[in-house]
Amino acid sequence: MKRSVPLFITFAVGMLMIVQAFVPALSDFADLGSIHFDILAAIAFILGGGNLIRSHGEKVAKRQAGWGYSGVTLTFFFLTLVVGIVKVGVSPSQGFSTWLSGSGTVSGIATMSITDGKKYELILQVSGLEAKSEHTISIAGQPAGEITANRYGRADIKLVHPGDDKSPPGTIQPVLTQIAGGNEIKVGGLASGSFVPYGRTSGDHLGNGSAFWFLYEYGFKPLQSTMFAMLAFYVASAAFRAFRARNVESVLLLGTAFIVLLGRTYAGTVMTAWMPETGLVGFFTVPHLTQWIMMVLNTAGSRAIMIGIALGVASTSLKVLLGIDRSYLGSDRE
Amino acid sequence: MAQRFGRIVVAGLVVIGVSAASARGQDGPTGLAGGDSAEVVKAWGELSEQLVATQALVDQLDKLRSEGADSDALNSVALGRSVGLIRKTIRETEHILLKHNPAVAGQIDWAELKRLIKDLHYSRDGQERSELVAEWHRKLPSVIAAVFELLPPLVAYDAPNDKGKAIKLCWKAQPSFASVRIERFDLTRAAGDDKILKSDDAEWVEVHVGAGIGPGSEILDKKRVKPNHDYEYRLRGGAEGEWATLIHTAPVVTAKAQWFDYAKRYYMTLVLIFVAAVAFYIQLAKSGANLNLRKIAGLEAVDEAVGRATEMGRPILFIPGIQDMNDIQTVAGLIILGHVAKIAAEHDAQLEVPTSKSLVMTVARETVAAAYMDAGRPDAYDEKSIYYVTDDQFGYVAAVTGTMVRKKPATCIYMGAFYAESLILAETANTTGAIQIAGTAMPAQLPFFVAACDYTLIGEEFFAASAYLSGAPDQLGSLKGQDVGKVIVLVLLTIGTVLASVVSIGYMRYTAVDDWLIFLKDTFLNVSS
Repeated sequence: MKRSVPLFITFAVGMLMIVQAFVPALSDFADLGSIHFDILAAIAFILGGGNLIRSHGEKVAKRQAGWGYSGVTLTFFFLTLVVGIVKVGVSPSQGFSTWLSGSGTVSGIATMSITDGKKYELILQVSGLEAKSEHTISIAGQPAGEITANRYGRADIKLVHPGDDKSPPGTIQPVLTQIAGGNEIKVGGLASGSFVPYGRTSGDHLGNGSAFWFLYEYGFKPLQSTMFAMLAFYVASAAFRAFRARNVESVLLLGTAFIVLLGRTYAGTVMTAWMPETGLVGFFTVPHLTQWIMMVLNTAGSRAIMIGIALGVASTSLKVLLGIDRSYLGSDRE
Repeated sequence: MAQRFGRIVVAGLVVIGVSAASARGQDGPTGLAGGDSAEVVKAWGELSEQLVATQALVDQLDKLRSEGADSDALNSVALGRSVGLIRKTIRETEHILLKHNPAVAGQIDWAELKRLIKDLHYSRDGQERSELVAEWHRKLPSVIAAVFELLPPLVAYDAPNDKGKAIKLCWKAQPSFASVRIERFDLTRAAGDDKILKSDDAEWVEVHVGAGIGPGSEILDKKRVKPNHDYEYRLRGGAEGEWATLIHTAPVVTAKAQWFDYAKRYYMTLVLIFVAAVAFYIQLAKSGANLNLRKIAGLEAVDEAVGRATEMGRPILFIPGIQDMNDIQTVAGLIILGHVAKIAAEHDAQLEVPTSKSLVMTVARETVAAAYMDAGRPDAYDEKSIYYVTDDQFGYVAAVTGTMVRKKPATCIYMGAFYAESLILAETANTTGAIQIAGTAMPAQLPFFVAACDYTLIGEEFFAASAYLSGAPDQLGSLKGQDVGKVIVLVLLTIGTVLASVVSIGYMRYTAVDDWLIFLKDTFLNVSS
């Protein structure tokens, strides 16, 4: 039972995935499957996080070798977690939470945009009106124009604000407040409402200026780049070992690598610039040879590997789906 | 349902007939006759797209000729592309007309058209080629125009091989448009059954408004199209506020989800052959047949590497890649982990598995626990030796390389999906003097592993490792089945290479050989689309 149920689920879902590749009507199952996997993986993260806290916590508590590193890991784990959840330093979202809500069949949504780099344009879209009907608009009791509903009972109200020199570019919130913030807006005698700007923490936790963003930008990214940069040194040291002329194969590898390396530099072009570019002789110029090695030899070799991989993937998948290979499911014993 | 379908068929035929008749300025239905209506509409829709593209090329060539371009310029700019496209159009037009309207098909001299295209291709003389271009240019538009006239002005048809959430539309350019000032177009759609569509209650929803859908456009409507719903399309054109200049209505079309992607039929045949071969050889192996397996040095070395770790009293570091359980490479890596863990348990060696994903950690623990139990050493299993590090690629690398430097493992085994971290890990372990065995199906990382590790399982060897290590007959059978797949690929590759070589020489182009090559390419190289 411990293995039968997982095996059945694996078989059923796997077969469904294979079938949906040939049945367009079932293609939604692939997306559904990946959504379910994401949910599972997100829940499993609790396991991973818990394991991380436990293993590093144990090291710190027992003062094991390298416990200081574990302390740093735990400190920044909790710091990042709290800063992200509490949204420290997050700017409010530049929009509205509600407008004309709860006003019978008439409803409205608002969108804000910056035009000409400076002017602020606020579009209020009203729907639920009677087709072709006309209505006056008032903001804080002052007439603000008229609208005529289209045949579908929809109408747009456009408010333009010239901008405010005091507001830094891109900050819509203060301008919104100037245009209509807190004021009652009426659509004839049918509906009324007012803007309710989003709350303080409504912005994205990764938005510029937030504490989470700061940690990511000035802590995480430099560290990540440092690790990645080490790759350059490792490529050099690995190449040094790999390109030793020990036997015939190594000599061939060394020669090919030398030509390709030269062909990727300006020196390679200059070295054979005196040779004609066309004809049989032209083939032996370094840029041409490099291109030929990459396009013919390299492509042929990598495609052969790819074909083998594709067949291997299919075969392994079949073994897993049919339950021939089930060591990943744990022990047979109950 | 049958009645409803029947009504749609009749409505479709009537609308097509009327549209076609109005396009020719004659009474009664013209071009479309016989066959299943939906199939006819679809065929005409596809043909419209083809003709529209061909017409555009003809116009391009005409412009070049009027500008005094010589034959070389014509050839370099448009000819090569045109000959291929027009040949395809001619072939498909002939096929569709013969199937749906043999009478019209009989009026066209197809052999003459094909001869013209062939002559054009083989011509090497500049002057002769120029004359052929001129002749071709005189003939082809008249043929296209003759067929074009049969088509309804606006064709809407169910997008093929989809889940019933898209409608394809095509509308042709009409000569009468040239004298009309059309600034923008307005494509609207009404949904509902046939009754609603014919009444005033139908609500027309905008699909596209603006200048982006000029004559000859192909439009794919995916805006909330629902399967098994009927849609009617209306295209209006004119100056701003004067929409009545041009109005076309497409026949009612039903969006349908297809139960089989016909474009993948050959692909599915290959999959079935492959599955059958694997199943056959598994049965054969189970029945006791002797299946030979060549020696894989990297897997032969696993025992030696584990023994070395035991002798040195240092741990074995197993890294299952940085992908999650939805990657088959991770699954293959964990299967190998099971075998390695069993050998480690038998040798009483210490095994450490840092993982980059929480799910991988959970599965790895199950796998290793089972292996220790199978080896009769459940007491030696330590859950803490399999731990989660971080999801981040380089954060994981930092932690694992730190472990390598501090603990100096005797053996490092990399089995799974790797990216840029492959070389950092392998080079770091190399500096600590560890024996290294790697296996991955990431072609870009294989050179790094080959350069830095003692043994590397390349591509398919990595997937064969589980069968190799277990030695179970059913698993070995699956490997033999894989060889059948290789034979199929080899045969197709050989045929494709021979055909491509023959066609590239030139004398077989635009013949049946070229057709076979196109068929092979379309069938086996473009299956994903």
